[in-house]
Amino acid sequence: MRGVLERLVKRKVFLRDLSLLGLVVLLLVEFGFLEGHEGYFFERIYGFWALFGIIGAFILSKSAKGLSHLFLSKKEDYYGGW
Amino acid sequence: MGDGEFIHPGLIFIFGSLLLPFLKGWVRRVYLIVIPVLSILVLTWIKEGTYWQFSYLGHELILGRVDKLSLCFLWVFTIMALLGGIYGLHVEQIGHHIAGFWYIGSSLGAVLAGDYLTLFLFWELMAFSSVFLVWYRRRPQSIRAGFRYLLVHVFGGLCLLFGLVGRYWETGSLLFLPIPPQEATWASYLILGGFALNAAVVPLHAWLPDAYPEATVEGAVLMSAFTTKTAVYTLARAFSGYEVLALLGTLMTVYGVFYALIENDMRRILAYHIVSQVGYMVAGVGIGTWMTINGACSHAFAHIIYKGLLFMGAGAVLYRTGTSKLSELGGLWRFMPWTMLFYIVGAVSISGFPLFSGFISKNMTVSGAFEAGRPILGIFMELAAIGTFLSVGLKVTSFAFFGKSSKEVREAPWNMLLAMALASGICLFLGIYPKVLYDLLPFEVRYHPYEPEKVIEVLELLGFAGLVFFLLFEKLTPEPKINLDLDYSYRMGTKYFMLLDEKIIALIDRLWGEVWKFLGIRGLYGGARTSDFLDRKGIDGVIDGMAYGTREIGQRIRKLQLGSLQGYIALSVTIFLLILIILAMR
Repeated sequence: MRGVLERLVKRKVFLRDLSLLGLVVLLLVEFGFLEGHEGYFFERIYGFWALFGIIGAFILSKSAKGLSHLFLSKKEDYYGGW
Repeated sequence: MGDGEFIHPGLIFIFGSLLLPFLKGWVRRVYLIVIPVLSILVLTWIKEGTYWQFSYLGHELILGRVDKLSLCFLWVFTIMALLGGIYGLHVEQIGHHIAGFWYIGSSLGAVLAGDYLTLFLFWELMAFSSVFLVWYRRRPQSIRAGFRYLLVHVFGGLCLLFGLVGRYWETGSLLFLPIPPQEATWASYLILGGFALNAAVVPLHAWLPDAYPEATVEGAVLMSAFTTKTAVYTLARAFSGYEVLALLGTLMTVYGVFYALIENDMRRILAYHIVSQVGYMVAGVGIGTWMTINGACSHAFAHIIYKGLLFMGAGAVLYRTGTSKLSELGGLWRFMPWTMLFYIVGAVSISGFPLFSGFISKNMTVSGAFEAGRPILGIFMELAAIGTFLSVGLKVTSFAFFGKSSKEVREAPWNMLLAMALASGICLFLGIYPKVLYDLLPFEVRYHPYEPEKVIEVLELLGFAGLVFFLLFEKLTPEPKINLDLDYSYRMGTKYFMLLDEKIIALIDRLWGEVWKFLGIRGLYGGARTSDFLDRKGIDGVIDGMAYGTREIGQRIRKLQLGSLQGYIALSVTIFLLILIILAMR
């Protein structure tokens, strides 16, 4: 098991490129299934979920970290014995 | 089907625990497996119906209501009990196993309860048995977290108790049946509040991320499965179609992942994800269509297994390294490769990737929300799915198992790996053969998870969100800090109350003591002296004076007494004549 993982870690750049290629392929494949797709208007927009994934991840990450740094984040012993 | 053909699976655990103190070594380990297996076997021949119905003080008590809804939860609870049993085989403390058995047994009892009294009994038993799974970690912070957990649950139990008393007052019945939203009263909402607290519905959720990370490694695995999902069952049973649940459930989905993105402790991240994932179930119940209720039940089933698996992985890391803080971990793929593999299976399951269990359950609720004409709720659930993948899928995996190496440790014990392997197998099996799960659901399933559009939608959503994670990688590095949540109210409330008690109230008490010593005691002495003076001079004077007066009058009267009868007669006649003269003169 460890050997397999070591080989994968050594090829991490290749795996990263493969993943990016996979995303491109996904967008291409979506063309084939967009026609006649039922649902809300936004579901019929090409690449909607890809865009939603990017914007959603960005908003969530930035807002969570932002609020954490603003006032939520405290030292680990903040509550003391409470 | 008669009563004789029913064996209560919960009581198998509760009575089964009585033998545990007398068993040792491998016999005990076998017994820890036999009891859950026995309860699973019972479920294989149990039929739908109502069993163990008793009349007590004019109330109908039902200990065995078996229908499709309860069977769905009974199945997953007993399977999880077996997985948790295997995972905890190495635990030597008998009390820990007994608490675990009572906790599982009472959860099964709550699911089988057909009336509120029985439900309440098992409900409280769940809280009081599970708290020992926190206390058995024996750290000071665990003891305190356990007390907070207990206090919050006792509050929830009281809501339930007042609600069921109110409901009995209103309807004259304690049967645990659906309450349509239009018939809901204050009592129904109290019951709903009690259930919602156990389901960790925001804003009643803070007990969960507070207590679960403080539980024992093995206890947290069990706790992740039973309390919240029993509550989801009770909500699905009684409160489907409540708008407040649809809204709060959706809020939960996002709230949980929001905190998971900024927390540092692996098990706290997973705890926040329980809030998020249970949110899908609560929202499904709240939307209240057949599809979303099916979605809630299927997601509860899938969630129990993969969340148990994730807690097993995080627990194994804690067990071997002594910490579950991401800021202190890294590079564990070298030392705990199997643990990492199984954790990743749990992570892709919870993220909802095709071929894994989360995909066939979570998307049923989300699609159900869209089909029910609630696209905004559906969109927020999709947003939460992104956060799930970012935090549990990518953040924990990257910072705990990859990156710089922390320290050299051994792989998890064989029993932990076996439990994780079995749970991983179930996640994969359900993802590939969803029909097995769909056949257990309360309503007929017409949902097809593997339509190409749905697969593409999920892969695009998660794939591109993952891209953002790697772009923001540095920004998302966990920090050795905690984040304030609503438990602030009662933790700091308690702190300030104690400060008030120790500083202000104690000061007032001391001052009052001084005032009392100065004024009170002196006043008391003064009062006593006045009282003594009044007693001696006033009261004694009057009483003594009366006595002296009486004696003086007596002395004088005594002189009038001549001692001869003729003298008295002469005196009497004289007085009589005087009276006659006075009357005649008028």
